[in-house]
Amino acid sequence: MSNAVSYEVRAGVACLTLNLPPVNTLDSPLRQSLSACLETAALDPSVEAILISGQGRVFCGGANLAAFETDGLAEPTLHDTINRQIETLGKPVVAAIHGAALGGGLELALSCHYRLWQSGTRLGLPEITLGFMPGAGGTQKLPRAIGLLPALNLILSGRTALIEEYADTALADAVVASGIDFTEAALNFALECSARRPLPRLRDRAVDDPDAAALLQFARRNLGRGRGWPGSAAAIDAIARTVDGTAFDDAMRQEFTVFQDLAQRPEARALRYQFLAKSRVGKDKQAAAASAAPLQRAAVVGAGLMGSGIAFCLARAGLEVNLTDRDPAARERAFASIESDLARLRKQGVLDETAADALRSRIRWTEGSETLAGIDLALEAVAEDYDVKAQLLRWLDQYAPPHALIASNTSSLDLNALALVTRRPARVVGLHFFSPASLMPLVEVVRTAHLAPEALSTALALCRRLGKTPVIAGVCDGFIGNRMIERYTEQACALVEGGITPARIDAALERFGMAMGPFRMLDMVGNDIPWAGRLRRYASQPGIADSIADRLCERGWLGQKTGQGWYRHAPGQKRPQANPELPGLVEAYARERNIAPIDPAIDDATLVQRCVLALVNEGARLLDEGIAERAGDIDVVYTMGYGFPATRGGPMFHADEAGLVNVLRLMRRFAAADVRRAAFWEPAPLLLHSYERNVPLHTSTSGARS
Amino acid sequence: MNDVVIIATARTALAKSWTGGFNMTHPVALGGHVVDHALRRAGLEPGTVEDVVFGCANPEGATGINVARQIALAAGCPVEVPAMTVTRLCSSGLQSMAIAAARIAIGEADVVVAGGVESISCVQNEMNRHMLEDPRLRARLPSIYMPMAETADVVAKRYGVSREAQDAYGAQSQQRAAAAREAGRFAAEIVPYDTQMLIQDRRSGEIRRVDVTVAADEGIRPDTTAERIAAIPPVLRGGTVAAGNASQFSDGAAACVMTSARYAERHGLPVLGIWRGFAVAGCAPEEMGMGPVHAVPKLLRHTGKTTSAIDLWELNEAFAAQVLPCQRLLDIPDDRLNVDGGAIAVGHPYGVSGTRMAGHALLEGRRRGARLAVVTMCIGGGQGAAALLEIAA
Repeated sequence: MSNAVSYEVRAGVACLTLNLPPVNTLDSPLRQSLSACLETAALDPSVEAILISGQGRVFCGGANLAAFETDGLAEPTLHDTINRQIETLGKPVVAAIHGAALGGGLELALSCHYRLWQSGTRLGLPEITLGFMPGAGGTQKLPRAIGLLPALNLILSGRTALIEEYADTALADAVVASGIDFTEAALNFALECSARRPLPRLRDRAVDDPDAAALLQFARRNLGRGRGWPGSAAAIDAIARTVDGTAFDDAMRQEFTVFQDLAQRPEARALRYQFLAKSRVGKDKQAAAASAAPLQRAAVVGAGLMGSGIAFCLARAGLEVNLTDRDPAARERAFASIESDLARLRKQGVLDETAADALRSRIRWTEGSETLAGIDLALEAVAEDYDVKAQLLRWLDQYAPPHALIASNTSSLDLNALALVTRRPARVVGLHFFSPASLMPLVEVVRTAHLAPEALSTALALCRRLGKTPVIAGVCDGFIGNRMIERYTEQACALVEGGITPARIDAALERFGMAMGPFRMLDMVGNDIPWAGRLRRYASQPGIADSIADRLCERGWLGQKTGQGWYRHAPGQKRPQANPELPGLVEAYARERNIAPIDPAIDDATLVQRCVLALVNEGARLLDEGIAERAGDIDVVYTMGYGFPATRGGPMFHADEAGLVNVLRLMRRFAAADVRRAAFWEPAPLLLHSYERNVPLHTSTSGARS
Repeated sequence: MNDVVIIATARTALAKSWTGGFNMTHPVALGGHVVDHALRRAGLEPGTVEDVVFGCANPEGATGINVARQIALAAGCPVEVPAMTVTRLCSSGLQSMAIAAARIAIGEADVVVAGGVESISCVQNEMNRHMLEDPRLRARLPSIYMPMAETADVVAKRYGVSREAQDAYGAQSQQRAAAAREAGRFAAEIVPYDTQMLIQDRRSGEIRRVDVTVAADEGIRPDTTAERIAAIPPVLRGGTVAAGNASQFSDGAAACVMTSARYAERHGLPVLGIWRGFAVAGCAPEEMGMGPVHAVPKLLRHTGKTTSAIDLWELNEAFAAQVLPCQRLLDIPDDRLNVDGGAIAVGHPYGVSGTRMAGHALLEGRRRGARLAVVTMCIGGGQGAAALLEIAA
């Protein structure tokens, strides 16, 4: 018998304490133990009341997603067995909730007769954000506890809320102020309840809202506008059963059936996988063993859009920031950009004027080497040019205090070499922020061959302090994200060379779920950025195929900033128009390079796979080369940094969903269709390895083949 | 035959469907509100009403189960007061008046309340679509099921109405309605309504119930220009009909109290106008927008009037594409047509518009010293309806 729930009788109260660190997830052993303890309490004549509480930081964090596939629904189940045990127990069952009650944890509390909360406790049903919906009574009992509209909002958003928001509803029999001994208060409360009859059950309450039909219709209708998750519509239907006369037990059964159905769908599996992958990124054994250095003052050198965005993030996290740029004109633009970031937060109501002023006061414009006085971290965000960065790094190394960490925001350069221009290569790290830095949650933490574990640990801790998700990448041209995107846009360009329009390719990929098609993205970023990388490669690897994209750049069609690129961008017009001169350019290029036209009848799915499988093949190579540690790291980079749909899990997860046999089959076809780039479609060894051994790609690690 | 008079009129302001002030208000409550106030304005007790006739284009769901009966009761009428619901789609609110008038004229009743109700918010997307079409009829006459916007594009093409002309008309409707609202010319007809509406927070997605008073038509946008409308993409690919030159989806209710002239005189009731006649006519479904061109001549013929005798025209603005050719073919002077804008600006809750336009013609006609007004509209499926009102001096 597991001891995941401890059992102790105090003054006639059976105290059942969930004890499965760190957050008392409802794993199989905990459920078995809880179920057994409930039976013991039921049969013990000296027990007059049952008190369920949680050991540690929280009451209960809900299901363990890592164990979800294997034992999440095994008996004794929460939705059926434990629920029924409490309902039929005949003695009052009190939940004493502190810290947090999330998902199944909240549903467990909803099954109890009484709920006592510690002030400041958070609650929520986050299931919807994982692609499914509550399955153990949440959709049926929460509306009965807090009302239809509040429950609808909580379930459909998946957000967490403070119990204080619902203090005067049936969700809370009492809220105990912080400062009062919660354990004692809970025991006293349970004693008080022991004689009360009849025992209140949420299932016996009616949802009373005269506007129920209108509310539900409004919620359903508004899902149609791109809001919502895969389970949103089903959740509304489930909640509707609280008011449409469906018998409670029938509604519970239906809730569970729908929950199971949703949970097995690809979108939900993808979202669960993403959740777990995110929880694993930025973790490194060596770094974990080393301690992170505290950071108080930082210098940001290069005050363009990226530099000022990073300065904003640092200041928001409480660091003092010295900001500088060689170009004096940058100063005004930088502070304007910081003000616009501030204005956004003010508008969202997450920052008040006092906090905004404090943030402002932490960013100081400095000149010359005073910038580096007394800093713990120097971060460069200057032009993506090796010599420029090398020169700057030497300067930083010369004037920054010896202990300071030097971070480069390079997105592609050889950081192993750059680190060696300094006398502190062990403390030179890459921090590749994404633009706009104040909004994008991802940072690639580039680990050079020389990086010390403490420096890596410091860099990872900094990212977390900034509220960013760090993913560790090794050194190569483009690291994880940009090296892969290069291959993806290259294939998109190959389609254009074959006569498919950028608008069609963008539309196909956006329907697939990409936040932005490749050509809209390129025009936004600027076509000169990847061009610089290509020119570098053309020089170092003679003989590789050039691209139609080069011709655009040669003409100065750099995208939005020049008014013309893959599209034409008229000032004041949101939607880009077709570039009328592009077809002529493509035709000339295709003739010159002897490129066969692509049959315009090609289906959109093939267009999508041509681009997405380029990500897959390159991703597999990154794992082989050890640039990325885990397939999940790659997928997190893509969903968080490149607008890859989270409901598809990421490129590597997508490959498994599509079936590796199909991935390899399509890659052979693509190789035959584009002889200039046939070598690219040579399957990465890891892909073949995974296919041949019938193991998933998305669980692969960099050492998978050894 | 008895002369039939209109004693009082009342309507709600029109709210934008789904996003507007009535997006969670039961249409029975809206109808009850305007019947109640029309009767108050008439100075009549609810118990004196002999029948309540309400028009509705989609009489199902929230406007089902003989919605007129529910409206009468919601208005405070005793259970003895009967009621019927009628539909002739977009002319339902005028048809209800025609039925009331006919019953009074032949002496079956002295006091009848007529009106119209529509909650596009609560009904249109919830419609029962089971066997919505008869495949055999569709095979023979597919245009009977043609979407309205498509018929308007057909009309625009056949009658040579350019996108520019439609947009200019749409902007004019907005400007006229805005001016009328500014000058308080809708104030005498609108009864404000306190209710709750649902809104969704853009950022958090949270749905909130908020208290609102709907007191003015929500569709009126004084800053509308033809240039702005021109930037709106067409509803159908290659078409010219677009939001901005077509009527807006909206919710509301309107009612009027009608009696025999004798009854009004005997009880000293204030008379707004006299019901002089009504005509309906059919036409090809794919050019349903031209309905008024068929109904109006019929009306003028049997009432013995000429176009030039009509001082004021309310021609429902389903689409600018059909208003313009109707105006041309009926030879209606610009300064007598939809002088305070129309459905493009204020909105078009289908079954309400007939009653709303009749009420507005009577009040605006009196203000202008007009004598005769025609209220006319096109009707889905290929019909037109028209009524002649004589404005009380």
